[in-house]
Amino acid sequence: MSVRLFHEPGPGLGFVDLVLAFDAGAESDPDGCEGLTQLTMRLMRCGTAGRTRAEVDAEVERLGAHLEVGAGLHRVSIRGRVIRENLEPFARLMLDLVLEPALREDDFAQAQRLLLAEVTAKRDDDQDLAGRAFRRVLFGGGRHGRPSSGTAASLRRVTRDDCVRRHRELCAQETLLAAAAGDVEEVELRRLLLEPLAALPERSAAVRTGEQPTPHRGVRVLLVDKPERTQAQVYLGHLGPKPGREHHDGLLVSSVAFGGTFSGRLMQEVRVKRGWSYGAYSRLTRSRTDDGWHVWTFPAAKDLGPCLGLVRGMLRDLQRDGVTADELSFAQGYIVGSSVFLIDTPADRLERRIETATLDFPPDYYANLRGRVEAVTLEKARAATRACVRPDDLVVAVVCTVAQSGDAVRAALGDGATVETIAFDDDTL
Amino acid sequence: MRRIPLGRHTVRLETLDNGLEVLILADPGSPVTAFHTWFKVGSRHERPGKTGLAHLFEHLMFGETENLKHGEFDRRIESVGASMNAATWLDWTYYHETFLPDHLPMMAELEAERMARLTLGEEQVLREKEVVANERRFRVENSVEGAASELLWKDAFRVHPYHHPTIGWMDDILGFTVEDCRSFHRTYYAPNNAALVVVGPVDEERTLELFRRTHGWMQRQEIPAPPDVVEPPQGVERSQRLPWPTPTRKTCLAWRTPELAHPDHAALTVLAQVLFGGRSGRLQRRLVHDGEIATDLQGGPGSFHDPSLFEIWADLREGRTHEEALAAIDVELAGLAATPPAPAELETARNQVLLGFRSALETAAGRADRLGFFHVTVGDVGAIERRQQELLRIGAEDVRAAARKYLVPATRNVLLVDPTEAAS
Repeated sequence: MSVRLFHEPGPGLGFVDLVLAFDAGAESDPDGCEGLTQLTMRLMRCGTAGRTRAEVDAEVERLGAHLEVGAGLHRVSIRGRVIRENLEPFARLMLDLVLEPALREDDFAQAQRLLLAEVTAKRDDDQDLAGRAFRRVLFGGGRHGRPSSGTAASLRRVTRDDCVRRHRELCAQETLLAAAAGDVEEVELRRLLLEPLAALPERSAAVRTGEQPTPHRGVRVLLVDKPERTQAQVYLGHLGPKPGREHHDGLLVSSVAFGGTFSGRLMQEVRVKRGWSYGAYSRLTRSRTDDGWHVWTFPAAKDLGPCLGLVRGMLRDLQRDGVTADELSFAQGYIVGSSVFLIDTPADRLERRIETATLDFPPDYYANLRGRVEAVTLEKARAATRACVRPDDLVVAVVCTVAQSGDAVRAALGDGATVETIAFDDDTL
Repeated sequence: MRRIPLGRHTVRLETLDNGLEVLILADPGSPVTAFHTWFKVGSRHERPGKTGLAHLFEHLMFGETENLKHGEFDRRIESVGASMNAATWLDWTYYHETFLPDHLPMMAELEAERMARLTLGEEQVLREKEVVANERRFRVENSVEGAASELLWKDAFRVHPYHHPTIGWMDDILGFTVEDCRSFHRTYYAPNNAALVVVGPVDEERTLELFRRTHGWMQRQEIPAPPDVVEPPQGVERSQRLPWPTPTRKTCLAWRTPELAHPDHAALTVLAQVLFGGRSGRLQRRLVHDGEIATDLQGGPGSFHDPSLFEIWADLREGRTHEEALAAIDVELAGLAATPPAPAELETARNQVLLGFRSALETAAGRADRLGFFHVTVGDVGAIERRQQELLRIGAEDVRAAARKYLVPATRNVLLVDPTEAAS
């Protein structure tokens, strides 16, 4: 057993990106303790056996680096960028944070208070609120719909002992991926990273839940009530297939044709023809399991009802007729041409490799993207939208002032829709 | 022709006969080409009653031209997977595309087409005004940061055009006519008011020849001088409050500080690193990590053509008060004015300057962005390298002197955001 190492050279850049990623994430936080993995990662960067939190912070910045920790649904990482001259001491510091974190009680209490405050502050961001509300309903209360940072209610339940346990579960050679991009040679990386990481236990106690989301039926609406909104934030959609599954490529191409660009169908109808919203886009989220395919738009409050009606009608058209031959050809050209941005820099190339490995994408997912996209015929694209687009099985999340806009939402989505309302500052959101 | 060093590269600057400036950074190793068109016009050039015109016009530039029907411009660019967008700010407007290198001729032709042959009709202007009104709702009316920033600048500048927001006041946006837009186009979108920037695996001579063909025929215009307005000194503190549906208070401060080209700007930039940098900056520790008064803290000097603002934004934690935040900020500012930063703080600032400089030049688009921005804002691309050297030379006494000179309690602008009853 040994730690996997990814390297993307970039001589002459003058800096190096380092990543230590564990392919275990917030999906396995215990029910009621959502945010545990995120809090554990925060606590890990709060000091080592020989350094306080303040000393770690000062050292990172004195070295000409920045350092971030984060927990996603399926993976966690500690990552940083440092000027080439200080690579070695920075790598040692990163390793110490993983191998010998102090995990002190007072640091835990402080990290918990800061994360709680950040969750509260996030309520200022209407788009973020809409995105969280969408996932909550989309995954029907399942693990994938829980925010990785937890909620105010769940974070209060997490203890320092939970974090110590979680750190032990996470940090093992089996789940660890060490990666670097930029001004560094592989031989140097092996010495700097792999040799010290051999001290980690081989096997991880962190288990993947294996939970697969299940599609829902009917139209479910969650209104996030916030005062004084002159504009609504809308997420609307349902599950879409993960990379490697049937119809993934067909839906990816169709989604780009429908709402992936400025000149796509959605933007033309919502913004260009009607001026209802500054933007209107559709996007298929790539993840380890099936995840959201959604439309995002943000019309003025006065246009919310008509805008919802229009978008739903467009989804019906897309399901029935699919994309046109011109749209397909356009989307293929767009995806093929823009795929260069996925691998533009060494850091981009590294990120694609980490993503592929930790999210279980087919190994050639990005390397063969062009070939697969060009192989999508009109028939395949239409089969994908017929099978995957479901205008009668929608999740709709809307941040708005409900007293002013709630009736318009109900009228636009019909009597069959299940509508619930939650306050924007509800502790469980 | 001039050649100007930039990191590992060299930039070639040429001026065509019609006054159009061209900056080329040939990088054979780049997998993409970045192409920018910068115009030396922003909201600073607008007058009261017509605010937001530069930004509205940026939107209109994606419309119909003499040879391209509506939507064709975007469609052709996106059909080859190019990334494109535009931005307007106080001093400039720019349009940018990044794409596979073979497509440069097509991009140059498309940009030239809309620069010289844009057609503007009633319906198009009416529709785009509504889109911009929605953008204003998004960025200002439903965003506490946007609303607070707008009020702070409005109060800090009473006569200078930095008083009004780039997106414009809502009444002005809705009041624009087609003739306003046509006149703006004629006046400011002239070759002698623009600069083209190319970064990528290009041949310099062939690229210049391309631009002579696509842009060289355009006629130079008389460009009006920008408003020559100097904001009078601010003798007393200005304070205002903003009620907002937010869960927590926000404390915002601003002082007037010099323009980007001013010798003191570098010292203020290092000062900002000492106060706000990363997690170890003095105010980061006092307000966020040790004092637990704020959740988030940002600050620093504006980088503009004219004197602007050094701003502080503190997003307070639940239950914490403006008085606590203001007291903590006062203590740290007084400390910096009394005692210069320690050698370790300066070492941190220097290394962060190096990291920021190298990171900014990582991509072709990043390099094109730096080139265009410095060329238009300071008037000299050589200022990019010089500024890095200035930042590395700043000493402890320079930082203390800047704190004493500019961050003076009597001349600050204060904006306090308080949760409305419905949201508290």
